[in-house]
Amino acid sequence: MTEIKTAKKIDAASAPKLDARLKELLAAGETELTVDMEETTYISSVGLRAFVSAQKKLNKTGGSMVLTHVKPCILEIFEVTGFAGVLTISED
Amino acid sequence: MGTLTVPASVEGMYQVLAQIGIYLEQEACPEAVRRQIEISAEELLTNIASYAYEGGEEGTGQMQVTCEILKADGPEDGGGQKKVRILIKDRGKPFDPFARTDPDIRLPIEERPVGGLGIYMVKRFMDEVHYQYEDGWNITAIEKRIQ
Repeated sequence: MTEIKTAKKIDAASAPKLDARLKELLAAGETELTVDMEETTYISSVGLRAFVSAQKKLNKTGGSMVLTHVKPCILEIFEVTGFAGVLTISED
Repeated sequence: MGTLTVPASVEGMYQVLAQIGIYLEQEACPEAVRRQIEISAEELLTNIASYAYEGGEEGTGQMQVTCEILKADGPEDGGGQKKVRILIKDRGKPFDPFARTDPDIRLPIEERPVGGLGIYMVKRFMDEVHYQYEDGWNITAIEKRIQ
């Protein structure tokens, strides 16, 4: 199990780093990811795509990714874009 | 905030986003609205930075961004309401960002196209979106009422 923390803003500048980190963990064979989003108050489409791409890979391998401490403003974005139902968001 | 003219690049975009953030904070725009406006501006400016001047000489393209607060004028707005309006202009290839069909967000994750998501967010977050092509300019406007 690996836990990572996301930045305050997951935008065009920071999303590639998140995407690279997720890809690296999955390439190393990690199947249980926890993403602590406590700090995050902003996510644009490039950040959403990083999560979706990781989730697709994990669905194929039977792994899991849980997003924790998701703030209401971020949850709203997941809901608006229809990703609330396809990502695993822990209720805390 | 007035009008800023910056290179059509990711750096230019961040310059603009920072100024929009400062301006809206000064104007006491609620944080939730500010976030939605910043995300929408990022999505539109990213598109311009990536595609508007594609194939042209590198570094020659610019984008012009105006952010202002206006009186909301619709009868449904009630008295004294305000709205934020962002106007984005570029002289790149004619491109209507809002013409594309919205992605079907009910599809299973495996079948969902990855494109179009950013513009979909803009449409959902803003009250109004407009595009026109005039005298060689792409003119994109987004508006959001401040509650």
